[in-house]
Amino acid sequence: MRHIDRRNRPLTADRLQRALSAVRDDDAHSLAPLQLQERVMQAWDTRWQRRKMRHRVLLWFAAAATVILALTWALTPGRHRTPAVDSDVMETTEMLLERDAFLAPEVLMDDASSVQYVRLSLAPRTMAAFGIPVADPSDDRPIAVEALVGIDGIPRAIRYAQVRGDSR
Amino acid sequence: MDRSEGDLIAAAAAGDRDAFAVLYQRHHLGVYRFARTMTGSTTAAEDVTQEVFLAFMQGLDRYDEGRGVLSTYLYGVARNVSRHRLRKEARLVSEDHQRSRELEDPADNPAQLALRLESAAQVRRFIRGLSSRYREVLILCDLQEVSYEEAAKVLGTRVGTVRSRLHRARQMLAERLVTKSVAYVSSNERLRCAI
Repeated sequence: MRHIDRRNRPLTADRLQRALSAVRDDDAHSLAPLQLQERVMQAWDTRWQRRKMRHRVLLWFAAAATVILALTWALTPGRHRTPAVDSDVMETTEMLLERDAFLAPEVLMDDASSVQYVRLSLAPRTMAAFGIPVADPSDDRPIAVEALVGIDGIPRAIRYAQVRGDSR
Repeated sequence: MDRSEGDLIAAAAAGDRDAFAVLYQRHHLGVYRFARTMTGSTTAAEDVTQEVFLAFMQGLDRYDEGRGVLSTYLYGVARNVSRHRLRKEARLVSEDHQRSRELEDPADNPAQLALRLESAAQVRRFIRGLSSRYREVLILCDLQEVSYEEAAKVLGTRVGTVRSRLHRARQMLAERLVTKSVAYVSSNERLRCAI
């Protein structure tokens, strides 16, 4: 200490300690006003109310957006179409499965939307090989048939082609 | 049973009002007293304390307990807010200095002045006369009785720096205490005998 006489150092240290303990004692008796806590807790309440309100608004927006999206999807024409199968084919596929079709043995039926409806001509003996009853398996004239072919190219169901006006 | 600080912080972050109130009760006095001695004004100390707890409230989600105890964090915020406030409101400090000079008037009753020299208010004025870097370390270590390690975290410095600053701060405060007394004693023989 530049300005303090060496002889006075213990006195100074004592004085410093007394001075600091005077402040500590004063601190021990000084309390923050209760209004301060009230102000802080009021700020807490305001903050959480705002947060709840913001949360509610966000939920409301999310719900509204969901409803709008659902309505848009429901009202969009042709939403059930898939690129591979159009609605006419779907109808034919369902009809074919309902009536006169011979399901291919030991082959699991795929989802109707994943099979292709095709018209083709087959030799009677090929039809017989599929287990479809034919009048004369040795006949060479091809028979018009309708088939459902899976994406692997294996037929899932075959029937004789429907003649226009056929009531069967 | 007392809930741990970690539990209280987690609960407060989830919106538990009572948990936040308990944290406030545990820490507000330390912050308030620190701010009071730093700024030299009870009004400013109230504002600083409020700002500290608002900052804590807003940062509850991001508060990382691994970085230190809560008091360290709160003192750190209080220090920044106090310094910012003092810089911003230099006018208030100059008013305080004016008031300080008035209280040191040697024309006062000698007995009263002697008491005042030793009084907490006068010591506070001497502390406030120190520069911020010495004042804050003196308040933390000698008045708030924070450990050197914790003070180093609050001030963002090394323990060695805290020790050296504290040593210098004590020197300067002692110097002021002695200088003021000597100045008075030289102007009043009767008090020399009393001291």
